[in-house]
Amino acid sequence: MNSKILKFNSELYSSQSIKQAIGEYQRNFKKKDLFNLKKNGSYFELALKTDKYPENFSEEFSNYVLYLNCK
Amino acid sequence: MNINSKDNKIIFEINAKIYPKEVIYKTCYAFIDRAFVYLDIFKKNLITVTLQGKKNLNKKQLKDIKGEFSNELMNVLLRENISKKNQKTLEYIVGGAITAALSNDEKRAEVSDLDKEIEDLKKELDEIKEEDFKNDPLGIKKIAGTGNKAPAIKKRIIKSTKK
Repeated sequence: MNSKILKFNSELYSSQSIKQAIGEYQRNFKKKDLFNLKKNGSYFELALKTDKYPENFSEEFSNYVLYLNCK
Repeated sequence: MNINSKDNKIIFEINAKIYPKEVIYKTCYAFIDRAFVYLDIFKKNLITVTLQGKKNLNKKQLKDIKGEFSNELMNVLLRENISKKNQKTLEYIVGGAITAALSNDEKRAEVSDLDKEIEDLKKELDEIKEEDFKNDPLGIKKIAGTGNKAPAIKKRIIKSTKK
């Protein structure tokens, strides 16, 4: 299983919207151990295991975080 | 501006001094259904936008989508400025509407209070009417020119004035 790290600049993305997106996806995929969120300098780093997810999952996920950020 | 047609991406920068973050977010929101939008900051006051088409786009289409993004930025910025300018006017209008609605309620409350008072008075009048006037526990009827004896209190008053 490959793990991928998504980076979100903390000046542009709020941790709240990332956490909310994680919650939504965990509910949809019924998994609880696939995300790991850390703060590294000015970035939030989200480690996720991509094999189980559909194509473009990370892009869709970033879009969803941005959407929550816009709200 | 950097076009990567292999990855179906276009990357460009936006000056955050010209376009506030809120404006950029709102613009991104308009593109979420057509492209994967990713934001980052590498230099101070410069926000890097990455647009990756959800469908396969050629170089021209990627340039076009960037152009549309810039136009939408201007559009959102203008709308924000107009709404800021009109904010006070809107507040006055909404405030006026609310106070008008409130005063109507107050008027209604006053009218209902008056109605209550009128009803109470009517009830009192009805009660008075119902009372049997022939019963004269204070002996008022006897004093009022019937020639009958005055009540005891009246007699005492008359005596004291004679002295």
